[in-house]
Amino acid sequence: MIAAEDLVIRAGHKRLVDGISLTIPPGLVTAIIGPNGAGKSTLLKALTGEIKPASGRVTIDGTDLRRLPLGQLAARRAVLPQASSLAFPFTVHEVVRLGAFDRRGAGAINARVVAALARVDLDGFGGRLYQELSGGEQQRVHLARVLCQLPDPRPDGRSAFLFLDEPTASLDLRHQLMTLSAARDFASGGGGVVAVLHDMNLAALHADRIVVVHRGQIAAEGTPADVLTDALLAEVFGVTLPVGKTAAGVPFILPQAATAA
Amino acid sequence: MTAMSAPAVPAGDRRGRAQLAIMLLGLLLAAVMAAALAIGPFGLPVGRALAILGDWIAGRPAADVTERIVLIDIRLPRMLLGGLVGAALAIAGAMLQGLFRNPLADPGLVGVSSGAALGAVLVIVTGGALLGPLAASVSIGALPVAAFLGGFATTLVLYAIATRRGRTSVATMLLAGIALGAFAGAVTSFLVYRANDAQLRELTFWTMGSLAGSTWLKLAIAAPPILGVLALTPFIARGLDALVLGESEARHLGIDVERLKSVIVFAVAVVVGVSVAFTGVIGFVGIVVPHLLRLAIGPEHRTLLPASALLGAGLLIGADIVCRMVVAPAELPIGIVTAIIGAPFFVSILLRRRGIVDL
Repeated sequence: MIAAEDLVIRAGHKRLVDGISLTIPPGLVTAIIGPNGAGKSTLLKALTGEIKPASGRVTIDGTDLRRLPLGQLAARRAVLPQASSLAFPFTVHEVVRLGAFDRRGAGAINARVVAALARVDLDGFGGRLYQELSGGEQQRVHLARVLCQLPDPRPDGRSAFLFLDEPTASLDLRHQLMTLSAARDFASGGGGVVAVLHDMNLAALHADRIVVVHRGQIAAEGTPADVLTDALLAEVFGVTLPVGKTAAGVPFILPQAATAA
Repeated sequence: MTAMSAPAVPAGDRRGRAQLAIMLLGLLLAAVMAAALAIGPFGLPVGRALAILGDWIAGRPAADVTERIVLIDIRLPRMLLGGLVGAALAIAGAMLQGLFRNPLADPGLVGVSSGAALGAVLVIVTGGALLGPLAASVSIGALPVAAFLGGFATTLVLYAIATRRGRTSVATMLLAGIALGAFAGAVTSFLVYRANDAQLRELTFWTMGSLAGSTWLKLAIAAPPILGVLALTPFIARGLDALVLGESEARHLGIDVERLKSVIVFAVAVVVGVSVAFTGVIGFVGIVVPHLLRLAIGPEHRTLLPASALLGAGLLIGADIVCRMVVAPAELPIGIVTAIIGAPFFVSILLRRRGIVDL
């Protein structure tokens, strides 16, 4: 379990994250949503150990994240960044292989790379140059790299954690669903998943738990049906919009119904 | 033997090809080394040169003293120093390019070599004034140390200017490198012109480089640090690969990025400092060699770095043969040859990546 205790992160005088406590349990997909500038990305960076909080701490199974050796941490948590460009002509296979850092034989690692590429619907792309791919394909290459870093959601009997920063941003619908189903598989296998999502419908459909961040604090937390309400949308996102419910009780939001508050 | 179907090499895995290329580069280097011993104004066929070498190694008396002096005291240390410096400059280029995440970083172009040259010239000038007659013997040991410090300081300043929050601006890096190089070059030129010191060689040595002054003593001083950095490269290869993704991404993959960057800056300054101290500023080796190899075997550093060392050594030894022969019995500064080969490469990379430089 990853736990944040009373996190505060400052930039100058502004508190980007202002006293957030949060636990990330294994076995669940947790979505973080919130308006632009709410502090979602900053929170994610603190949870992954990338930035040091001004106060408070983040622990993984009770150990302070920033005290854990980087190699051990990398074996237990992986981070999917928003798409990035590469300066050198790596093939797709080579990029994904960067995720496999343990000292196994070349055959085992190559098999893992091939499996990860198949998982993200990039069969046969191993020999292509990363630069020649579309933005959505590049995004999926990084997802494969991250899956290659954590091939087992429970390495050595302890849960691993996957952090996804807007994983669906440049993807078509089919691959948005594929990405979230890969996240679901990871959680079902006993790992924990945290995804920053902008699409509230995807969050409602695929997350077990939604955390709403607003002005550096947690505005609401719970199941999609509990969190996504007319009142929350008005208060946090500033839109007056009736939240619908599918027959199965999953909330959905139609922007066509919106009127700005 | 029963033919077990070996697991097929998956598409995009270029390691097998890279290992083959490294073996071929090794053979190429051996051929260039033999040629460098045989070719020169004083004719010495390859077979004869190897025979003299064999006699010398086995400790047998020389059949012909002149031939032995030409080979063992002049050509052999020159060839070996050329190979070491070529390998040093090529891996320095590859490491700097990995650090800055762009293929245009070359120690000669971004001012690291000029900073090292300034350090070396300062020692020669001030050393002569401070130490008097002792200067000659002291400064040959102090030269590489001062050149290292000059290169180290330049690399640190360059990194501080060009990198903000883990992202490097290519344009800022190149422009800052030009400014740093011009400044260090100007101070060096001033000192060289003002100095009235017999052992301060002419300015072309510090701007264009030369292997002409190679001796066994210089080789003995240059070899340990350069070979030490070569031995270090397998341990930083994966970190350099991960760094291509960005600093945060590398950290997420378990790389201690701050330590890696310090090691790279230190290693680059060591090999460039030692090279510049004894052979002056030789440009473009660090840009041509890694660029060609990335096209041939891919950018993974665990194969790129050793391949760069081999090709860099071969290239510089080959360039030195050209220097000794085209205007014989005089010699060209070796930087002329490397610039003529290298400048077109630089322009072609720049043209292809104009969008990224974004001026």
